[in-house]
Amino acid sequence: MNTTTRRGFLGFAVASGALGVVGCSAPGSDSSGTTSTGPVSTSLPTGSLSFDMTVATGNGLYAKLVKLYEKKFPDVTVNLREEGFNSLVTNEARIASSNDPPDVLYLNAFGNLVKDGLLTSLDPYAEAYGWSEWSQSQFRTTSSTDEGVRGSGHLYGAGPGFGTTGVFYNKKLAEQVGMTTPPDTLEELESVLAAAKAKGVLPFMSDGKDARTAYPLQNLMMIYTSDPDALSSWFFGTPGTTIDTPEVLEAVQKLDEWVGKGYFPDDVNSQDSTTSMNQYMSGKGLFYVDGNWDAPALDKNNSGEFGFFPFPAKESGGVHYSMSAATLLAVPSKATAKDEAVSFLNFVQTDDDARQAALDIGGLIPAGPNDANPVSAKAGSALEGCVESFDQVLQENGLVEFMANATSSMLQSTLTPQIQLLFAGKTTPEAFIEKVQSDFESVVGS
Amino acid sequence: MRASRDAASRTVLLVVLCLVTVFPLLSMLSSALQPEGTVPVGISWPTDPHWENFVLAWEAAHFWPLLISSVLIVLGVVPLSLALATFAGYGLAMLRPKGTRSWARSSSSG
Amino acid sequence: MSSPVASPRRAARAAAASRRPRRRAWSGLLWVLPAAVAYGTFVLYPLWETVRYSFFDWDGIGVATFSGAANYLRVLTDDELRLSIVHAFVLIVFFSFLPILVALFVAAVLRDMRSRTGTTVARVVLFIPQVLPLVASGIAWTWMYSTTGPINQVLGALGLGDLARPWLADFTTALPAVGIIGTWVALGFCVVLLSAGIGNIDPALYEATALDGAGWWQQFRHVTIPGLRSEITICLTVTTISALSSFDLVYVSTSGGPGYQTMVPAVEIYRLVFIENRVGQGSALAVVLTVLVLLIVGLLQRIGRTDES
Repeated sequence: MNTTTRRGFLGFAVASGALGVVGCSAPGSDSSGTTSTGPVSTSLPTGSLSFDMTVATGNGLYAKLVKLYEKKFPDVTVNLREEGFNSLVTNEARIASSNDPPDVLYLNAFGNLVKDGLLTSLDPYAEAYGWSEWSQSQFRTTSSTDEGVRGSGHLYGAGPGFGTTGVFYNKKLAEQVGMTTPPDTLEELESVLAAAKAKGVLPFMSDGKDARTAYPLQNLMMIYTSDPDALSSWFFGTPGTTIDTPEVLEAVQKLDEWVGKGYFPDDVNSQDSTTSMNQYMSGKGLFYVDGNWDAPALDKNNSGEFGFFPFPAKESGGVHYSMSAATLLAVPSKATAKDEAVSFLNFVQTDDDARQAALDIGGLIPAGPNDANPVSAKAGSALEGCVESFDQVLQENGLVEFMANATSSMLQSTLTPQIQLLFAGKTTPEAFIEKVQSDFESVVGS
Repeated sequence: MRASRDAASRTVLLVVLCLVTVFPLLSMLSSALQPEGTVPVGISWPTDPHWENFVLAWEAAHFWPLLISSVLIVLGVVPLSLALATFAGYGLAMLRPKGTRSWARSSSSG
Repeated sequence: MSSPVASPRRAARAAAASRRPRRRAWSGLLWVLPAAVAYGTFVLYPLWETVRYSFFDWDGIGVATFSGAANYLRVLTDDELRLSIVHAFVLIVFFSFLPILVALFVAAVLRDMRSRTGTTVARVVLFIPQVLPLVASGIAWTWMYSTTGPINQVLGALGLGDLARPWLADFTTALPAVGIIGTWVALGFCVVLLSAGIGNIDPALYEATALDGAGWWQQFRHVTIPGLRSEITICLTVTTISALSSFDLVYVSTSGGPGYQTMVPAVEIYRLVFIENRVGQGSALAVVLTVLVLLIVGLLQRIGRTDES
């Protein structure tokens, strides 16, 4: 490299920097809130119609739902496009903001989509279709304020059913350690854990790479707290809320104590959700704190091998909590066939066959109208346990959002590495909470 | 005598290195042949090798469409970049004077 | 590194200075034009956009707000971001230094080998990892390293069961473990390049030193290594770039964990831009990474060149 070219390079660098700052407009466009609330219709015009739908691949659930829908509405063709979960989640904002977005779009989380005005508010449809008469707690995870704080505000999505967490148990191992009924309180749970450990049975299967280790943590946080509403608004990413409380500290210390006692696999941090699930299916581990979405797989080989119960309450008669979120199908602002799209959303929530399919294929528990026909799972299956557990927690008003969804970076940048550190004994419960809280504040503001 | 013994030990080292290199590949093959839904434990030749896993993977991954996409990309990119590079090479050779070197270097690192 | 933008201008100036071949210069420029346009569109323009984004606070969709050098300041002060750059430099040892050292030895041994088939087989075998997609290599090695994987199996068989651990999940071994995968991948490339280079060394040098009574190691140190200077520089350049910009291997094997133990800039950039929607912050880190790579490549080129002369 000689002097002339070096000067040329410097000049180029300086010029580009300066131009970038002064000469050009800011990237991004101001497409602020075109959530038009024009006239909505619940009846579809006659003649051949069609709409586009992009969802995450899910064991053929959506293909089945589309088939059922097209049978009921023969005039409508649904162009279904299934994409891998990870690639869809990565691209959902770009898909929603494209000029020709699908009319129904599967979302993992809102992210900034509401704030950026990319989604259609479904409020007028909820009114028109009568969703507003249903039990409203089912719409909490799919509602958001204009500022993008979830949990309340306008409705932006609905879907075929709910995910709900709880505890799977291996019936054979349960018998082996002398567990006759699922534990209902923390004390009962801990005595089972100790009994299992004493008999050489691994108490919990879990995985640190996909942070399923956060499920028992969040459950402990919920049962230790005296102000569940405050924690719940933290999970929804509400500015000004905190988890830096003595009660949360107690919960983290309890988990830390369990880790110290060897209640989790030694290599928990090297496992991802697939490997931990496979190990659990092959009989390793008494409990698996996980959700109903894995129930169909656990029931597949040998229905009746695994059961499911809600995570125990602190004391007898206390509230049971479950992390739960609706499968989120949204309608982008720029969608062209909105009425058709919402008619599909209404269909999956209300049609008996669709609701049963959501449970059988997706393991998702439908909510919908209060007087809907109940769905049925095979007696003695893990899935049946999930349905019962969901109903119980719903009645106790114990459904909460996943703490991993508190901010868009919570799961990958904060919770996963921090909980790995906690399980490896590389951080203290105090430092863990402080870091999680400060990362939270750096995103939502304090 | 000593020299040839040294040579022999060096060759042995080389052979060991080659074995170490193929080891992970063998381990991958061994797990590819395990029955579906099991987690590979160590390296062992399965008693009942599941060769059909390859067919399943081919179908599950929609291999044909993916392969066709790759071929299309190759057919488009390779001739085009070759043509552009040839033109540029000829042009740079004509220009010759200083500057071409730095240009060539910056393009190759890009 | 030099500015690609400066070159055509300089070329034109040089052509004007020499008068005579002016027409030649013009048609020469014409031939270069398509490549220059492609280079500008697919390399310079995105680079320029990245630099621009890095001065904004932007979620990728909505309105961006100008934030000055705040993103760069955070790259320098934020522990996680800074640590990721440190890790990338640690990986250079494994992705670059180690494979080159081993490949030098292998190339020298291959030179001595009489059996033609032997050398071919060794070269092919060592080159296989280079052919595999990095994602496949990452997956193969995740099994190798797992608690019940072959490495721990072998350790157990050797009576070293105490050493067995989940290599990629252990805080002390995770980064070296990822590094070893890189060594495994890069070795083949270095072997092929260096053993080709060794063929170009004048055999008379070996004969002369042998007559002077030099042993294998002395020949290795005083003939082979100096004779391979330029090949070593190329190996260093290519493997260092792959270490600094490593993504696939890390993402597949650890995705940055456990904790932040194997987080590298490329994975961090991906995370910032695509998961956290912090396009400006990700761009700033990308720019820093690009500048680092260019600096180091420039430095290596310079070292390589001074050695030649």
